[in-house]
Amino acid sequence: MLRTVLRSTSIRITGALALTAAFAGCLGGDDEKEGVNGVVGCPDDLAFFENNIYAPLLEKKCFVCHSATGMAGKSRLVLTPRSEPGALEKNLEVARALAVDQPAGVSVLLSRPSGQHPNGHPGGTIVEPGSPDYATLSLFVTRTTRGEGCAAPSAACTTVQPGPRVLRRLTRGEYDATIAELFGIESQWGASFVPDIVIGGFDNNEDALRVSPLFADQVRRAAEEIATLALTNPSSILPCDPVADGPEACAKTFVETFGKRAFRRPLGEDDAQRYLALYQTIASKEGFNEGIEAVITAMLQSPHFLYRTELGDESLAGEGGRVRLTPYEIATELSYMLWGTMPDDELFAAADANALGTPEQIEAQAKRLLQDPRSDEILERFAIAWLELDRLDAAPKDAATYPEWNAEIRAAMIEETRLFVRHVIRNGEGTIAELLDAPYTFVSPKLAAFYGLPAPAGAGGENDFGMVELEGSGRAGILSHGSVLATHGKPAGSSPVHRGKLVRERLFCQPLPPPPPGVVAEPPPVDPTKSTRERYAAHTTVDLCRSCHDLVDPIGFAFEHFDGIGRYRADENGLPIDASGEILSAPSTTGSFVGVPELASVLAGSADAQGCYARSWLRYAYGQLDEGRLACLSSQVADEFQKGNLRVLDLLVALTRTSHFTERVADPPEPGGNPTGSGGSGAGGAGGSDPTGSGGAGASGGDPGPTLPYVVATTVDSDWGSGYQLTVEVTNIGKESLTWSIPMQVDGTIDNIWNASYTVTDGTTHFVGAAHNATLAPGQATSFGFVATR
Amino acid sequence: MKHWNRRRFLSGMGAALVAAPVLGLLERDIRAENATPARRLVVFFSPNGTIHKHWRPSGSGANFSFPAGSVLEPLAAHKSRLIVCDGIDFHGVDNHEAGMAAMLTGGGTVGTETAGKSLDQYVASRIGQNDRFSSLELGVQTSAWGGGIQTRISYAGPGQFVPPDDSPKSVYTRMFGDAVGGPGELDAALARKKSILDLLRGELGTLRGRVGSQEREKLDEHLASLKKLESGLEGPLCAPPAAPPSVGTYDNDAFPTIGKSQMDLLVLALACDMTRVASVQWNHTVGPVVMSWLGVAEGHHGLSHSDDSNSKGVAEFIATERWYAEQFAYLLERLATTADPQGGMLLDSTVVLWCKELGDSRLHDCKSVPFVLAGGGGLATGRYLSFGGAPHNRLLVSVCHALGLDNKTFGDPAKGSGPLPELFA
Repeated sequence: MLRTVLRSTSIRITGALALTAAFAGCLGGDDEKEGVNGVVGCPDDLAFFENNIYAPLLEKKCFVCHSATGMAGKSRLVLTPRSEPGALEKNLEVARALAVDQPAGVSVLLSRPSGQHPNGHPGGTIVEPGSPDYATLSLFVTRTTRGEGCAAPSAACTTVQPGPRVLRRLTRGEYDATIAELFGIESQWGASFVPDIVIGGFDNNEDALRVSPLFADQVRRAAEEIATLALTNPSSILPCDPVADGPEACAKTFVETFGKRAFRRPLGEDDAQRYLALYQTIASKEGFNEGIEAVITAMLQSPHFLYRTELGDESLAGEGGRVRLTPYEIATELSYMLWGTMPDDELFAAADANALGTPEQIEAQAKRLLQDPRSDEILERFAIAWLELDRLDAAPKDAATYPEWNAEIRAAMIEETRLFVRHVIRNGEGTIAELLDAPYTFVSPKLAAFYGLPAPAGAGGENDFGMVELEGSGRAGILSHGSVLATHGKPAGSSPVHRGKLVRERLFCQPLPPPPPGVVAEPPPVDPTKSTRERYAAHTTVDLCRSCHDLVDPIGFAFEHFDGIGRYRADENGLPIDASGEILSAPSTTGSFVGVPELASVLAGSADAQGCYARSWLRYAYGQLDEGRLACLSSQVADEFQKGNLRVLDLLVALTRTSHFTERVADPPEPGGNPTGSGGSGAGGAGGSDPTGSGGAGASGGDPGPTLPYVVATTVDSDWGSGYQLTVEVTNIGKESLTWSIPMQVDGTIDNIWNASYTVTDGTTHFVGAAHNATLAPGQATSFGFVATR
Repeated sequence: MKHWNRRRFLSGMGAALVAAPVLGLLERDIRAENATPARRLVVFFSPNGTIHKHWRPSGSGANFSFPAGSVLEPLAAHKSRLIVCDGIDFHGVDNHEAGMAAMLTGGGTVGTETAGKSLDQYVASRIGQNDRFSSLELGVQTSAWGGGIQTRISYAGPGQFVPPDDSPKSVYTRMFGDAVGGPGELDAALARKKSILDLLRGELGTLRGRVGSQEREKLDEHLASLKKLESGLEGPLCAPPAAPPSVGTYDNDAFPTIGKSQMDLLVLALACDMTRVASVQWNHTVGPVVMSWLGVAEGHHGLSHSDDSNSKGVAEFIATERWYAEQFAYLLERLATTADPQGGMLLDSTVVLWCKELGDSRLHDCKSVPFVLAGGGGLATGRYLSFGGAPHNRLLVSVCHALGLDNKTFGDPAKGSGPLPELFA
């Protein structure tokens, strides 16, 4: 194992490795020459820039700070909003200037946002090295500086691709809903499991849903408790009679029928065997019921239960290396996406009959599920997660300032939001615009009194909800719900910052950078002679604060008529309230307003808010970020939603009609097909310490060569067919310091390289380190990487 | 803004497979340098930095005291058992999130000596592998916002959080829940659990062959979790105490009750040799807990930003910080008065670290981050030391050395290597 090197199928590492720094600086020389010549470029640069760089990257991730009014308005990257004439051309020139600036062999356009620049990036790491975004930026740099890579498609999303094959662990909520469905009991077990990691605002991202040691133990205990409970009345779960049918036969029937529902697919022969063997082991010692109990306990911990597979079946391969999902996987996608639980009998039947193959069949099922009230929960859950209302219960409030604050009011506020969302989607216009600016809401007489609204007509008891008009109340749309205002309010007051940040991050999908270090980030002290707005004005008189707070405070001020627990106030302890505000530095939303209803109406007409809403739903429905492979698909879905002014239900149906819903891209080539093998997969020469005794590697085969004091390992970070990105790690395993040089056979042409430079001799590419990592102390490791085009 | 992405953190995993055994070859006898290593590590975290002038003791070296009204005054009774560490910086790191991520990892990546693990997880991987729980992570309202860089301190590797258990009831059940019944019943139950684990491992192995390398990672993590689950099923037990009081896990006013339950369980787990590495995490960075029991109305994070001109805010923040010091004092007191099964008291053979993620709370920076060390392991306690901007990586190395380990670096080796010799006698 010691010198086993993981090898990609596209790269061979030769056995003959030289220990020399002779090649250092070669690349630097070349680059410098071209850098001085400035921009080389490709004929379709403007289109390439717009579709691959500006719209998906710079506008989404950088614009919020890098605009004239933004925090980085004095940096070298100042972007012009689309609305201005010639904006795209100007932005291309700005980006090109950064692309050709390569002080340490790496373009500033790459080193800054990826945190590799010696001066760092005040906004943090925006583009991770190794990410698809990094590869795209790197391609832009190559085109700009060398005129290479011009064959890359410049059109927006020429290939809308499905995402990767994944395992999606059940969320805590999905777990409880599934248990309820399987056993007909209410489940709170999932709710007690350790909370999952939140990515992009949602806790159902497949990458984050892992089985940690704590989670595994909690699932184990839940499985034991549920199985014991289920066996208190065996006849309720057994489809057969162990006495009449015989225990063995009944156990077999149970394994097959319960197993199909638990695993959301028919059990294979081996599956059934495995569980029957477990049954027999336990039943022979402890009895029939205990055997069945063990089967349930095991199935509820099985990866086939805990993970929803979206792997597809190789035998159902689609075109272009795509893999088609199985009918059971599609049934499962539909039911969890739209109902949050396992498939019902009809979906199972459709999968059994292979009747989930065509877009029409899938659409028909999607519509059926959406018409069923069982989809209410998901529609409401999304709104709650979208606006972070999960935090309402734990939002601390000062009892002295707000003695009225209690669990009952919080529950009423969440009920208001749920009823409202359900009504807008089911009975209203059903659009995002209506969610944002509807002139009505749902309250109980109790909540109405709390808010200062008239009680709903015809309400029987003080906790009966009914619709009320909001005309003249200062409220409109979902953002004026107490749930939103209190979650995003301070313990003893309103909070323009938190409310503005909510709009910026959740409605515009523009995450904000943290306050820069070294700035006194003190919230203005409470001063009874000043209104909240006057106190927060300090943010906009200090330059360093203003650049960022201009993005949030002027939006948040619109909410100033609402206190920290969502009640309307005409004035602030006698001080007049100024609820005027404006939206700055949003890609395509501008406007000023006074109060929430006017803000709501600007947001309702905002293309940014519409696009962000569609992208958020995609993240939630697919459990993936709308990046990388899914970026094109996401733009397409968002465009259609926005241009068609679609209803939310149409958006959900559209999400079941994408290629991603039924297909996946096959996995990238394995780095080293057989990592434990010797010979062919080894590299870095050979030596006496090789336990396998086999020497040599790669192209040169069995030539033993000298014992080398270092090992090399490579990892394919991503591979998009026409190119790939590779990371190479070098570790000095010798006893002395080492200046390394590594020869490799590189597939294709290197577009961009970091932490190393290279030169090509007789078809072999020799890599040497950069100034900071050319020499390694004993035991020390370093890595470098590059992007290459095939 | 940076968001968490597990896969990207792990993109160098293939390399780690090569590097790890190499580093193993270079290790010497881990007990070589410290004649009286401590046996246990306890990490105590409280969030949102401090205000140095109210935190710093007066005097220096062995001749110091805690000024009246200062944050650390509640530790006076334990003065001889601790070292107040001033002037330790997180190099190249500032702000809430980055501070949180660097605090116990030192910014390590897969290729570094500590492989991106946090201090507790690294120590557990070295000394805790044969214990019933290789480590225990206890939380006090850490996860109301879900998991994320802001809410996690423990890392099993880069980007791989180890979540704390926020429920004393759940911790109690994990410690004692599998020991219900007579010896015969216990044996049968254990045999059943092991049969099921064998079946699950087989399923994970088969599924592993059907997925790509990215998903394989998930299944490998799952398999590793089952291994820990299995070791937790058996091992040292002692008589269960009364169950912890039943309170709402995220009920603001239950914060002190939950904290006390967790500390009591932690001490018990150490005293019963169930584990040798444990942490108690109070809230999280930007944590909003309102210490209403102190008569305070503003959340802890809000108070932490009180400027000097806001004397009420500063006074309230100091009151909340003193409250955390009282909790730390309680933990030390329990450790100092609970017998070590190997002889002496637990504190004699335990290293206790009180850590924070920020220096000056008002400035969002990680300069002079306040650390307090206590316990045994050859630490020269009873002193107030200033380190003049030393990287906290060296403090982390020092803690490892106090536990008998001999790693030269912790986290990013470029930030500094070796221990801080002043900490040792």
